[in-house]
Amino acid sequence: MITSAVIDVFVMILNELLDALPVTPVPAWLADAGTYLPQVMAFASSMGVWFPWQVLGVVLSAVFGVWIASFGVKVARIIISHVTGGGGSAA
Amino acid sequence: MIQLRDRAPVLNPPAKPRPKKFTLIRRFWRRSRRYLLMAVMAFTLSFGLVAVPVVKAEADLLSAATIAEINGAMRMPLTQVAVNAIKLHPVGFALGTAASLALLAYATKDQWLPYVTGAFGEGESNTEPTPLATQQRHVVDTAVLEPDGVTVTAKYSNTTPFSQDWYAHFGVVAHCKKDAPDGSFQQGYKYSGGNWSIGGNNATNWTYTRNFVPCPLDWRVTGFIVAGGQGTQIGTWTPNLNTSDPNPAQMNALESQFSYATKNIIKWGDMGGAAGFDPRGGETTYVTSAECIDSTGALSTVTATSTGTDQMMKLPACPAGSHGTGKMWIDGYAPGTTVPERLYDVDPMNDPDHPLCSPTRPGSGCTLGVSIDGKPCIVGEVQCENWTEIRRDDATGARVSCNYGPYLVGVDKCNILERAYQIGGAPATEENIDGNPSTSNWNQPNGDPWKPQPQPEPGTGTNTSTLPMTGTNPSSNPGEDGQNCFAQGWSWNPVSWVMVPVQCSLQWAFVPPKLKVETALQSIQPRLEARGITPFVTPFMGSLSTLGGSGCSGPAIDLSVVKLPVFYPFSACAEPMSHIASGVSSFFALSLVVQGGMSCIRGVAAAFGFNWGLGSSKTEDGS
Repeated sequence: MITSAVIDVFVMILNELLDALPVTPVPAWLADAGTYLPQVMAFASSMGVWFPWQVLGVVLSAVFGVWIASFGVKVARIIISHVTGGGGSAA
Repeated sequence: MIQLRDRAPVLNPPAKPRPKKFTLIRRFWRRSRRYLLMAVMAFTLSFGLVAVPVVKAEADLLSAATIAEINGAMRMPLTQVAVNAIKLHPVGFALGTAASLALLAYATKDQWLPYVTGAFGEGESNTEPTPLATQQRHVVDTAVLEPDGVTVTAKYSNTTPFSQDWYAHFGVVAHCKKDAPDGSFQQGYKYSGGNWSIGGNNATNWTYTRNFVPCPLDWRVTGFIVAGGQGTQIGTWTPNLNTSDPNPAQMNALESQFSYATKNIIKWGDMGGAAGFDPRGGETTYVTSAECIDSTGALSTVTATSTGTDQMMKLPACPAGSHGTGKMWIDGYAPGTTVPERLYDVDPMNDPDHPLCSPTRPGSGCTLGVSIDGKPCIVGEVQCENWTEIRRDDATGARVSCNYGPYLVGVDKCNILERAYQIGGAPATEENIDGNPSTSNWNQPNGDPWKPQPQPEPGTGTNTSTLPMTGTNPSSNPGEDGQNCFAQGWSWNPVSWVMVPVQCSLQWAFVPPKLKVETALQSIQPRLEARGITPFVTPFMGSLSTLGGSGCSGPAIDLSVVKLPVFYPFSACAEPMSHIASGVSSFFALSLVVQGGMSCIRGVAAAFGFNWGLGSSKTEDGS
């Protein structure tokens, strides 16, 4: 339920942001640019023997996860700091 | 005395700090540059240490190849020498050549350079066996591997002129292959061409240069077989034998599905050197045998029998679905005898990059593999984990293919790999007896090996009631998603009556229903598409799964425009580049882990109010 509520809020905000963007026909050159992404990714993937992409993915995921968790902890501390009795602010 | 009055220094007003741009990029560069520079230094140093030895090793290889080629009456042009060298160690060759050209010229002046010049000259490879007094010679004078085909020059000689026209027949089977971007070859490919006759007059010596026998476009030759023989049906050869587009039926008689780099030149004239073997007589029997292998690895032998009255030596063809291993031998039966004499026993010359699929040769066996959209599957890749479902849902039936090594086989052959690409998965070895309909049994009795076990079907009927008519009611209300958080918890086991409800409650609170996620995505999707974002997001997300793919060849550079094979400058499939690549990759991995770990520690510390500068160039006060 909690996650569902978070998803609802996130989707609502995202939809509002997207609705704020104009709906215009995408130029052909811009649409075609997306087709080159797989080639770029394939080139990067072919260098997998030289560069550990999977490790990079794990590290980035871990770092972003920690950042999100840290942000949550910080928000929680800010909220808790408003409770009388503890005093102080973590902001 | 004038006393100068001290004046207070005029201080410049503090400069207004300018806003910095690209803060994240600058910060990343500041933190990572030391590791990147160290990696580049290690990379460069590694090349410096191995470049000269690699090129020297190339020269040694070519020197050994020289002997083999000369003995085999083989010609190799300079372009092929370069192609082979680049193919073996592309990066080492390229960098080593650029950096060590002068040293190479000095160190290998007695090996490489004479070889190159000898390949173009009239070397020993042209030596023709000394004719016997009563024998004609039909030899392949030269056979040159071009990057995309074979050029053969045939020669006929006789000790004395004939009184009438004579024809000698030659044929060539070129084997071609096409490189795939991942370093493997796309498919073994045989291409027959060249079946021609020379002669037509009574001169003593004729030389005929057959025009180039090409591989198909974008394919390149890896080997060939040339056979020659004398016909007794003088002057009755078929005209289109000598065209550049031979009659397929005639080619089938010559065609043998030989594999790689056989490089054998059969000289019928040489066979005449054995006592009693005179191709003119029509009484000598030649049995040519070839070894074949099918997609299961089973070996078989096929034979073809020729006599002196045949227009050419017959080469056996492997059965459909199999191919030659390159091993071939020829037995001769002298007139009036049944005892064979081994005239030729040809060992295959394996392509070191793509060995033959023979279970009898260690390290050369092929393996079964699934490809999706032409890309070989790897463990852990999402699509590969569910390749049976993709195959099931693919209306075209073309997305999923099954390969035995380089050879395309029926997809059913890969059924044992149904779960092999899942993490921790393995090829199936026994029947599926877990009772889980989500897993498939490739050996089901219904004869459809990849089809999942059927879900139980409700009975047919016309019951319109919304309530069950029979059965007992559940003892308590089920939780969401059909789970009962307490029904299993009532026991004397504290683990059961504490953990189960807690786990159930947490799941209820934090695990969103699948429908919720799908609904959310469906509401976002049309907005993304309407604003042109999907064309970028979809390929990007789809390509993310390809990162870290298998293969050791690195990116390919297509040189087909200049008739050269695909070039892999960062190939690390062979020593010593494989070790270097492993070291560089490990170094990057270590750098990433250290950097990421420090970033995590900083993040955790910041959450509790500590502004540590661990691993960062920023000081504790943020400056």
